[in-house]
Amino acid sequence: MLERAKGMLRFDRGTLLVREDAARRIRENLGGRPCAELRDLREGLVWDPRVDAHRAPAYHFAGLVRALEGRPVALRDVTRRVYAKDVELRPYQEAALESWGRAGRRGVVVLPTGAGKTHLGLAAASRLRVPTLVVVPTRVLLHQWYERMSEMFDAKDLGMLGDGHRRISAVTVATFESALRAMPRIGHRYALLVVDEAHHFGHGSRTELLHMAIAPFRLGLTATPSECGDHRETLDELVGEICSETAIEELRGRFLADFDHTVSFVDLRTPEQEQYDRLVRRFRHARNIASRGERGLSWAALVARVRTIPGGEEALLALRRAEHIVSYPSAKAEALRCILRGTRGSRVLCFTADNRSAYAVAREHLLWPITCDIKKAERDEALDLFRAGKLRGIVSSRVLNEGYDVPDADVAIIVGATLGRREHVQRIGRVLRPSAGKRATVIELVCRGTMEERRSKNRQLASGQSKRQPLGDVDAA
Amino acid sequence: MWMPHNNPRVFGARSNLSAPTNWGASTNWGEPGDSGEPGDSGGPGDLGELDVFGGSGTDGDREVREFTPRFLSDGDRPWLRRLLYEYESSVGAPVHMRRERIRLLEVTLSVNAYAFRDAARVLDQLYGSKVGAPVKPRVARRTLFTSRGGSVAEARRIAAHALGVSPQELADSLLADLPSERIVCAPKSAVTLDELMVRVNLASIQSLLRSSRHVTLRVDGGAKDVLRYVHLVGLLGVVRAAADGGFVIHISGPLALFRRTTMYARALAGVVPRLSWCREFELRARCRIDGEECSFRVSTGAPIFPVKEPRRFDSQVEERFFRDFQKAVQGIKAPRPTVE
Repeated sequence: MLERAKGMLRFDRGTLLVREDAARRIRENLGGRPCAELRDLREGLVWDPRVDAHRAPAYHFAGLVRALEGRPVALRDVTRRVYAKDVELRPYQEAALESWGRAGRRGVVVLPTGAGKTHLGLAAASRLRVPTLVVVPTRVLLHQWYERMSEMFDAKDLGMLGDGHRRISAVTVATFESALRAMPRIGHRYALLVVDEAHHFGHGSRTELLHMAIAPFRLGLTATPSECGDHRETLDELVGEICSETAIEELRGRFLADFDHTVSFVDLRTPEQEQYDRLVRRFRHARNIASRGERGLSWAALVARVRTIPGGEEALLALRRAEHIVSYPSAKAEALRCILRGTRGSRVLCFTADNRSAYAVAREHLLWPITCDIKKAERDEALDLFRAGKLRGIVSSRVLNEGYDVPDADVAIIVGATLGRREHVQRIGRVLRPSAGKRATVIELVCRGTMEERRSKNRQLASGQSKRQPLGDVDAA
Repeated sequence: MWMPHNNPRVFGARSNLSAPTNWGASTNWGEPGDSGEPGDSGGPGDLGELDVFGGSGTDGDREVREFTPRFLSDGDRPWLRRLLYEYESSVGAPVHMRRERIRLLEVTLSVNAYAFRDAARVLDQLYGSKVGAPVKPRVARRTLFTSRGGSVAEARRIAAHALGVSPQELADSLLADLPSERIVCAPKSAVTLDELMVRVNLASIQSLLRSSRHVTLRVDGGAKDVLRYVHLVGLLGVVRAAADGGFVIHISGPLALFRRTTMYARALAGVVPRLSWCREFELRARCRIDGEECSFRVSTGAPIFPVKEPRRFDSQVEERFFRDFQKAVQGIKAPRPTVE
């Protein structure tokens, strides 16, 4: 790509081998000055005695070239070009793409579910016309992206990696897992890396796939950026900082379906409430001993401490049982029955806190469960039947949280939730894909006087539903 | 067949060096180090060398805490027996019931949590599961969830009638293929306490290797299978012939340099059961546990579960040749040549 870098950097299994004189020149060029892309030279370039050469993670390519050349990687440096059709964008998408361009074609764009993240990613690829790798978390998204890409790029340039497909081409879409496996071989082929649902990165082994690509241009797409500081920092380094953020409120009613949001409170029955209180008391007692009055401990740190005290494991087990009680008690079952009766004729998506509750709902209300235990072919069958209006509804705990395109769903019933704001926003987004005359309904079932009440309130606050502008008619009846 | 040389040989890192690219990043250059010693000006020292292998490809001079892996002993038999009993008695019950019982057992027994979970994981692999349902669950779901009935009860009755089973049998079949609803099966051969102990020991050593930075293997006698495996799964490292016979293999651990993949860690862990078939072996590993750098050592005689005995010959031709050769030189001692 760069004549002067030619021969000085060599891609090797997801890393870059740096020739001796190049390493020397990098040091001279840096001259003690900080380099934006090479935040930490000690981390970025290390001596590898196995091959007697300096080695750097592949994602430092742009930084190394900058240090060698004294200028950043530019679009004109990419020699391979890909033919693509022009893409028209909505105003907010256009603005997001512009912000990304201004950020040096590196960064994360935050758009609500249904607002056209896929379209934006394709637009970035078609405007840059460079070899592009799109990585997605699920096989469903893999096929959705491929279908959209085939409308825009030449068939000969299209590749797919994952779900049994192994075709690598100039514009390729891959699942995270397949990309992770293939990256040591293909990490040097792409100039643009599009990371769908980018909030999955920042922790765990998947992040390595971002380490192993040299792509100087990177676009992350998400509806719910990570709230954890460490994860955010890692993503900032590997993909870029958030360069554009659009909220549901800005698009609601125009580019997204309008919706009513209702919180329905239910009461646990007396024996359930007593058992719940007993279990929670047991956990709180252990928590107080473990925290030793220290405030501000993270949940992970607190759990680690609780484990170490006598009776700590029992306390954690008690908490799990208490959570199970509120996840789908008889009062929620009754409320769900009433809601389903009232929404007959609508396309209902039901979300639960865990798989066990999802299966209970499936048995009692005959909603087809879609969980991690159900195979892809059956999930597809269920979604096809759902779209055709042949099902009462679908129940899921996490699988439907993101990725699935269910344009016809108009009622979301949240029976239980565990993952906080991010999960909440994703779930609401499932029913917001616009269609003519559509007005969606979101109903949340919350057990009064339990941890759920506080969690629900936090979700509303964190997602700005109550504070900034109410998302709908919040009914605390 | 790939054979190690007497000279140190780098493997793993050698493929892909000439992959074509449009980025100008993979054209040829001389062997790294041709342009001079790395210690010359501009060498690693000036660039902030990181300690990759503890400096010299061995455990290095840095002080690290050394510990001896704790293998299960007779003292562990009571809780292992209890755990094994829970698994044996859960045969025929749904998997979720077994899980619940094991979770309760973990809480009630005050044993090392790591050892307990390793043991439970080993037993989970040994005790399989099967679907037990009068109707195929997927068919039951399709029929029931698409059946048209005014009420839930009516829909159930219609679906059961369509499938020719009772509503109760339909309900039993509905989710019977879920991992938690499957029925626990007994293993092909009964698991003894001794076997369980060595399997758990193996699992614990393997989990330590998954967080290792560098591993040194000294193997002698029957090293071919180990070397073949190391090459086959693409572990990164160097193999040398040891002065006193056998081989020394330096392997990068999953925490070396930038790679921390689970797959690599799993591949590295796969070395351990193969060591049992070497006449002598010593495994030294430097790893990071709870943020602390430490090292451990395992050697010949360690009570770990072996893989099945490696094949003695690569092919039938080789085996026939060996047999014929033995016949031909009867009376003359003809040891099988080693891999050097």
